[in-house]
Amino acid sequence: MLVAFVDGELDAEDSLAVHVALRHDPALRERVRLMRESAALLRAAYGDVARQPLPPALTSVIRTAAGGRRRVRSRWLPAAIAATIALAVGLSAGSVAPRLTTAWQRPDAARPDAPGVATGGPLALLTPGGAPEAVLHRTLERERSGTSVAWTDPDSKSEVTVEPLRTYRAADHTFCREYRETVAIPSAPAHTGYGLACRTAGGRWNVQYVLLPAAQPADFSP
Amino acid sequence: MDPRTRNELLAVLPRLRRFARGLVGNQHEADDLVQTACERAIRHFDGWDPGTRLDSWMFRVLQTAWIDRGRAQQVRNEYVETVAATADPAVGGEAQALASLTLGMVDSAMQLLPEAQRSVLLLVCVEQLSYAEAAEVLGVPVGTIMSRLARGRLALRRLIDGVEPDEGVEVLRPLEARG
Repeated sequence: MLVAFVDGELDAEDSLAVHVALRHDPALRERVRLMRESAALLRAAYGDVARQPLPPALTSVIRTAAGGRRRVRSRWLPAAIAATIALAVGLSAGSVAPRLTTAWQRPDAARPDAPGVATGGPLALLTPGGAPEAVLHRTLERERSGTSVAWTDPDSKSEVTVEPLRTYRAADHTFCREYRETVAIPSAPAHTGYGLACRTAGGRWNVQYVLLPAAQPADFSP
Repeated sequence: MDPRTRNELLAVLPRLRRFARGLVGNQHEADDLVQTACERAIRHFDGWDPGTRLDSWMFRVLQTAWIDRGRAQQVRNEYVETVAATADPAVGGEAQALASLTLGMVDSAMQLLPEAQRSVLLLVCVEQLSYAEAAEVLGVPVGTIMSRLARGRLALRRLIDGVEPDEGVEVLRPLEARG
């Protein structure tokens, strides 16, 4: 009854009765004070928690829940990076990288300002020229995770495949995507790398890092 | 899950994190718990009646996930460190330092309360749910909400007040430790 009074859950009649009782009972007043103070302490302590930026791993759990099949096991970004390293290591050990199917929402569908991709990925190293970067950009910008896009260089006949794997929203609200890229040069084994690129406000995808399997097959000669 | 519901769920996240933080006492475990709850909610999304409040349902999912997890982790709670409630204004004049001191203090005290009281305190005092709403989330009668709330509030206030170094309680001084 007293606690309901403190929380304003009593109707007018009961509330008045408590008012009257409080006037004559110091011990009751003390209990009301303690109850009010504990509520105030709780609000003071936890108020800020709800104003903190959300960890990207949490929002991505929900963003990727598009319905149908789901594999939502993302963690904090560092953990995701560690997992990607593990993936790359697993690949070099001869295992098959698991396929992650997640949905991807474009941050802003049709930005008119000039998009582009910063160079630095293995695409630039393995197949010189601007086209593979454009493939990477287009794929990161438009495709859902789990969808791979292939492009064949008309001159060298080498094939580039880009597949976005997962999407995060970083603390500064930019979007970042992990992706897999494979470069197949004729008469040589395919070369697979894992990258992370983040989208700038201007619509550029900056490659943050690219992981390549540590050991290539012995007969591979670039 | 349609995009609108997804956005609604995203909008509930900050409060879910706060609720979880109050339950487990640190942000890392809290985020882990929120993630588990979200994954469960997504898996069993047909359990939500679209005519009802999504936030209440999510509080319930999280509460259940916490209880399930708690059974495995009960040992941990016995090693809770207790922070003394000695906020010296001369030392901790900055609002932020005080806020984090309050947080540490309340976190510690909350961990000493029975689990059932902890969730009621958070839902009513912090999340501002009505008694009826809290009863719905926790699946108990309103009378139970009231008695847990009354006991929990008095206990919390006394715990924060009553922690004295000479009672053999370990005392941490976060402000001094920071230099």
